[in-house]
Amino acid sequence: MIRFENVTATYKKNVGVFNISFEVKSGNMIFIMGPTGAGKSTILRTIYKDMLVDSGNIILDDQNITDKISSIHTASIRKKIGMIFQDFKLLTNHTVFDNIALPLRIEGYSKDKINELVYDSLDKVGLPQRQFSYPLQLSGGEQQRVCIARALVKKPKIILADEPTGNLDPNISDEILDLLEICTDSGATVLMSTHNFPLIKPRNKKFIELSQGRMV
Amino acid sequence: MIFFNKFTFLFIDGCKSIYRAILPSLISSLTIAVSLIILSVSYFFYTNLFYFTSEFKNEYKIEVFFNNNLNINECLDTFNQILLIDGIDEGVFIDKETASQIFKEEFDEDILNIIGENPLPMGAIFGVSDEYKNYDKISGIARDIKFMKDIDDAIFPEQAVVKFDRIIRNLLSFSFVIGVFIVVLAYFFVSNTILLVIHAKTNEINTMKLLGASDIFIKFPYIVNGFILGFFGSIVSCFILFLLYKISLYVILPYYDFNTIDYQLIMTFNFVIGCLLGVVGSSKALSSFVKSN
Repeated sequence: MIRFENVTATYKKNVGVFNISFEVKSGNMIFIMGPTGAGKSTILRTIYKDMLVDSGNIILDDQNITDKISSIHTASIRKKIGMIFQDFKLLTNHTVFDNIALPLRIEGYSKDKINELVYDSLDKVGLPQRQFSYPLQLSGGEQQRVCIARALVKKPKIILADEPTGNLDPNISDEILDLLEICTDSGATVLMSTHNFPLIKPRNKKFIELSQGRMV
Repeated sequence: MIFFNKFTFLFIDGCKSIYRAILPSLISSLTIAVSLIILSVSYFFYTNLFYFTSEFKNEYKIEVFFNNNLNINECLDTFNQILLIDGIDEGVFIDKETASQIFKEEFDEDILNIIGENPLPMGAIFGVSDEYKNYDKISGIARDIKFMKDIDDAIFPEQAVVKFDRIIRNLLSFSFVIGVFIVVLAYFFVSNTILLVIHAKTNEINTMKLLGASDIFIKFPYIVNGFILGFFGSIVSCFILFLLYKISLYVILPYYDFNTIDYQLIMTFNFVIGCLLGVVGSSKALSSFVKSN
């Protein structure tokens, strides 16, 4: 569960998000809509502690994550979250397998468990034969799938997707959304930012619309 | 078990990261090797300077002349009293006959033939122990002896000692400053080279942070990396030093009997300092990088 209570977070005066309040229950998917610069990514950044909040509260699974800013605390919050980025943020000199395995290695999983979970995740995103490829050998759609596989591999309760379809063509974008929707079936809360309204319209999901950092 | 899994992964990743950035790693390793070679050669010169000075300081002696009106027994009594003074290591008594023989050896003339009698006083030459072989202490002893009754004079090569002491002090200070300078230079060189490697991996580190990696998890492979680079640097420097040592046996030893240094000590010194440079250099680079990110 994610709850925002009157959250304001700014980069500088009058740039950021202001007085944002919403709640996403466990197992639900919600879209954050708005044009470029509306504050979609800022909302996600405040959740994964890449940015500090000026005022208000962010509640993540009944835990207020607003104030604590130690690096250990930040790391522990990020471990609970599966992140999907528009620019994928894959490690280009590591194989697909190693990229997907990274969150598990950070948590100290055993080799056998890592093998099991990574192959399971690769199957889910439809890339079972690509484990030894390097990211730059893959298409944009495949790279985004690897990014999703990395986010799903540790079965997180919360998935944050920052414009995951931004660089992809419409067919692949739909497939990516399908994958994210499947995640909610296993109880994950999904928060996805996008500026592509036609993409999310047929999904009939709740969305928040932002303009100049404020909820519309 | 979690700790072991993490440690194994991080250690292997640290080793792999050398392969992933082979050129900067090679440069870092060679930097460490060159620094170690310069340090070891400086240490060699430093120990040889000590060896050379201790050889020279064996010539630091006090010459004492007894009053001419004393008989040999009285002179020997005073001689024995002087031997008890702190800092006096040894002594050679010179009676009148020995004094005239020394005169004859130095001037090739028999003093009895020149003036018909032996006017030379009885004397002694005293050596001082190592910790007293400097101007302040040896002049203190000479002054104490001079003020003893029955002593006519006590002298030592004052000007030579003053000059030599000054030269030694300057040389030692200079080599100390050079040594510190090399260590500091190597430290900054290594840390900056590793910083370049880390900067090339900015995106990788930031991604790992976003995935929940702790600072230690991010730093550890680079510290392992630094350790391995230091270790390889030490191997290279030990090998080159071994060659230099063998060459010096042929090139220098026939002309100058230098004090050979303990090769095991040098190897240990190289490995300890090399690994330390690698680890401390990468830690410094990491802390400045993690701070700035």
